[in-house]
Amino acid sequence: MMRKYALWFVLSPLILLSACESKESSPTGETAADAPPVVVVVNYPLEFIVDSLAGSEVKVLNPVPPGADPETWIPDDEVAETIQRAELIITNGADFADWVKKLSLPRSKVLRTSLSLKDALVTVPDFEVHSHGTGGAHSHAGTVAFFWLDPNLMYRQAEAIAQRLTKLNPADKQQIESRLLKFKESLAPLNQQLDQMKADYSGRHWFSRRPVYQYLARRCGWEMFHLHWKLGAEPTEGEWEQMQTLKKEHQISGVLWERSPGKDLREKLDAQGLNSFVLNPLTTKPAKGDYLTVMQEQLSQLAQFLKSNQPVSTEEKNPK
Amino acid sequence: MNGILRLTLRYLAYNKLKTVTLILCVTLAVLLPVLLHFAVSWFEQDLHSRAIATPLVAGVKGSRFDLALQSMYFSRADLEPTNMQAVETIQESGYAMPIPLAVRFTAQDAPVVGTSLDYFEFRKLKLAQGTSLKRLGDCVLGASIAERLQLKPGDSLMSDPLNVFDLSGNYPLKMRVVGVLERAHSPDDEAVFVDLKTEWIISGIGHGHQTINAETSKDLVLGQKDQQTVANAAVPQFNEVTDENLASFHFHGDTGTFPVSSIIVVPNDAKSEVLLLGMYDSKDADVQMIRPVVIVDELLQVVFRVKQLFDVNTFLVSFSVGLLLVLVFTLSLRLRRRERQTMFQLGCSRSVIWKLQLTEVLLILVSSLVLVLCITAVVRVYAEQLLRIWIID
Repeated sequence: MMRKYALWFVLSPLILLSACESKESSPTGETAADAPPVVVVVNYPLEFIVDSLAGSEVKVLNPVPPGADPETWIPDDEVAETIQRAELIITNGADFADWVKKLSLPRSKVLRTSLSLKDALVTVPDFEVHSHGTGGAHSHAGTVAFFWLDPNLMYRQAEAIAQRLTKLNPADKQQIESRLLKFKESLAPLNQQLDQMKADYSGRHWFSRRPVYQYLARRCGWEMFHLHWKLGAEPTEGEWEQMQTLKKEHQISGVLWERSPGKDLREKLDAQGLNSFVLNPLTTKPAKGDYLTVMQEQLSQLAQFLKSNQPVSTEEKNPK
Repeated sequence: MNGILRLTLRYLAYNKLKTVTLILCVTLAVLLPVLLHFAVSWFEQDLHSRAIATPLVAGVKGSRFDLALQSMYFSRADLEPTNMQAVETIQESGYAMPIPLAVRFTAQDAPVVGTSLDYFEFRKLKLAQGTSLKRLGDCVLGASIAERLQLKPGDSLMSDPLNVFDLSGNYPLKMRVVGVLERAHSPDDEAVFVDLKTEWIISGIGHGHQTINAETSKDLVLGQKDQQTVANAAVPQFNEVTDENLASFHFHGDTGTFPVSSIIVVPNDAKSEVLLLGMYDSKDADVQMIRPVVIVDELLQVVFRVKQLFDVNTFLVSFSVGLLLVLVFTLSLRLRRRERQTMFQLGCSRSVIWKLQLTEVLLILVSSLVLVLCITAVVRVYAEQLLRIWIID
């Protein structure tokens, strides 16, 4: 009996000590826990990919609050700490998500999906128009970040993510691989829709407010021209003139919008012979459905839109 | 107390000046070789342990010693910086994890080390107070620098301007102290850690400035064209990153071209290390990759050659000091002949008289050795700093 007490007497401080030690945190804030690994993503398409591949083995965290723009949202210190503690941080690359550039992140935990599509990236010479000092306005080249609008590129993003998830949890390798195959199959309807659109409406020229639809356009054989109009602001006379010149030069007949341009602007554009179509790139989670269902629906509507707004020149190019 | 010991102590206490002089003589004669021996062994140990903990270092081609010392000790060497593309190339090779380091600026004379969070994990640095780096403008202090500047989380620290007369140069940045590291007994204790992007802001590659409103800020606007406002150079740049202005901070140019002083490369395994070294072992490569431990060994070989000279010198000095001490004690014995005769007449045996003399010598030697040990222990506490000041800087 005495020996038992003596054993407890020796062990209890050791147990207490080890309990205290486990609470210590490194500068990266890591703590040992049995909880599932946390994977942080920067936008909804990446969240959708990780959800499709990882199942319930990992906790997917999209820290962008509902209603916030994932491109410009910046987390506070508390959320920043949560992000740093994650086991994996999946970013889009091409400067999508401001917070990736403004937060301190451990490089070893960051997976930039754009690196897996280096050969397919679209760079726009006048991505951003900027002015500083006496030099006047100048443009900066930039890479378009909306890769997922081409399902083939979305699948390549998924492949890179699957590879990293396997490293994170090698025991689930087979499951992840089979989910990746399923994911590829689930993208097939989108691919079919886009192939059909390419066959029917190739050679179209579009306007967009900023570089967003380049990958979708490349897939469908279209060309995009961007207007650099400020979000929510009425275009100036100069901008209208610039737009009209471009329209005449390239026979542009439509504008793709990320969100509705507003009734007045839409009417003004209609009067100029420019039909507007809203194609939500789904950077945030849709209220109903998921990426696949909503994108399929949008592409069906786009096909319908193209059918009803068929320019004469296109018919001549593709006689039926 | 033993009578012999008491008599010796009384004698030494009575002849204070003589005793102190003898103790100091012996102490100084022993201290120099002891300190030299320990200094070399500490230097070797310090350099080796840091080098072993730093598997590979990459940087632009130039002095290998400067590259190794800059990456391990944040010493200020005039090395050409490499760029972020070099970091990406190593990462994309899949052989190793690169940890970029940018060591070009100082804050209150302490090196500002721009790096990624991986550095803390790599060096196993723990936080004593506060949190790790969170966003642009944050800094984490090493234990010594925090102690010297009396800073804690919540305080601010200003970076030093490179040249106070260069008005077009980089602006000092007021950094937010978010954490203090536990003492690591390494150069990390003396450093101010910031995110690599914060270092680029200090260097002027990135900045934040107010949004120009053409109607309200007419003195700042040169012209207005469509929706583009062209501002003049008087637009004040933010010298502090706050929650309010964080969004306005941005970088110009291609990130791949942004400067990095050196890169700590942590290979996945031995094979990856060899492959990486092979990758950069080419005349055409702009970047060199070195094993710090090899550089340190080369450096230590030079130190050991110098030490051999010191050892010979120490032997000769010790020998001459020994002879001097023998002479001093012999003369002392001669001077105290009458004292010994008195003691003999008082009834002391010859052996007791000899014991008294020997105890005196022993006490002086022991006191000297104790003094040497105390001085060595004190020097040991500051050895790291002293070594870095004398040798690394």
